Amino acid sequence: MQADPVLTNLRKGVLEHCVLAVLRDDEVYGVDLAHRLVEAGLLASEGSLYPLLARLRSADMVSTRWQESPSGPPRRYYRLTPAGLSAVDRFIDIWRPFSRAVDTIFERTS
Amino acid sequence: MTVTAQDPAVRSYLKTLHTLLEGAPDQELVVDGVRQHIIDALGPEASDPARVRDVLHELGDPAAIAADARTSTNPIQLPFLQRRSGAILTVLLLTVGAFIVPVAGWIVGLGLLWFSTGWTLVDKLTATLAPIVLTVLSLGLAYLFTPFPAHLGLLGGFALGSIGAAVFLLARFREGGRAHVA
Repeated sequence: MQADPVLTNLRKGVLEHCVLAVLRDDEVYGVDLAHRLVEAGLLASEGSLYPLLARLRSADMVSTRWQESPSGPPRRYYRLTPAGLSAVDRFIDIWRPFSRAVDTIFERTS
Repeated sequence: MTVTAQDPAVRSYLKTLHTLLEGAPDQELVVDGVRQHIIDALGPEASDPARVRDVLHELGDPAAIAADARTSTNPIQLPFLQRRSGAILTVLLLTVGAFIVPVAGWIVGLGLLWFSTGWTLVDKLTATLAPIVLTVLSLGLAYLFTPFPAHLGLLGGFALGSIGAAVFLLARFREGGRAHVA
């Protein structure tokens, strides 16, 4: 099913920072990260995560490391770099007052 | 690390994705990420055709992934002064720049230092005052121990102070800026 264009544009604007936010507290392997974002309704399909992770790796916001898995081959874990941590902290500082302002406007007009 | 995906459907999926990503940025990184996803998602069920189908279905159409790779917005880019390259330029101006273009080079370096959010207020004050304090001290010593030339005291004190400040600044810099500079 085709997503609403408004939702698609909103996702595009916040998705990179949402990936960084998921990685903020702990490193996560790709499948787990994709499942979390799909379940949250932020990712249309799991495959869309990988162009985004590749860009974040190229921009040195995210790094990877291999870790043995108890149930199969080693897994690649993604984690934040110091630059990624600063970027997500800055986004959160901007996002909170921005979303409150939008909510306030919508509450007044509803 | 080399990972393999032996199933014909998986090989075909990855080959299609690789072809569709021809010329796109990060082609190999994207394909490698998707390949690893498939291996992790299949786990011990790698030979179950129904499971393979499900995993590929959840990944989505390779054309959609390739379109995302080509049309996505620019990656997050930190402002220049919040990047390590900005810190290095600042430090170079405060040290080498001060000698190449006396006074002006150092002042421009100070401007970059104070506009950057990669250092705290205390870091900035320390790096600004260290060359001044050491220059004054060196001039004082040169005055006390005449005929020690005053210009050597001036240059020596400033050089020592600015090099010390440069090492200090590089150690204290935080890429991406400090959220609450104090």
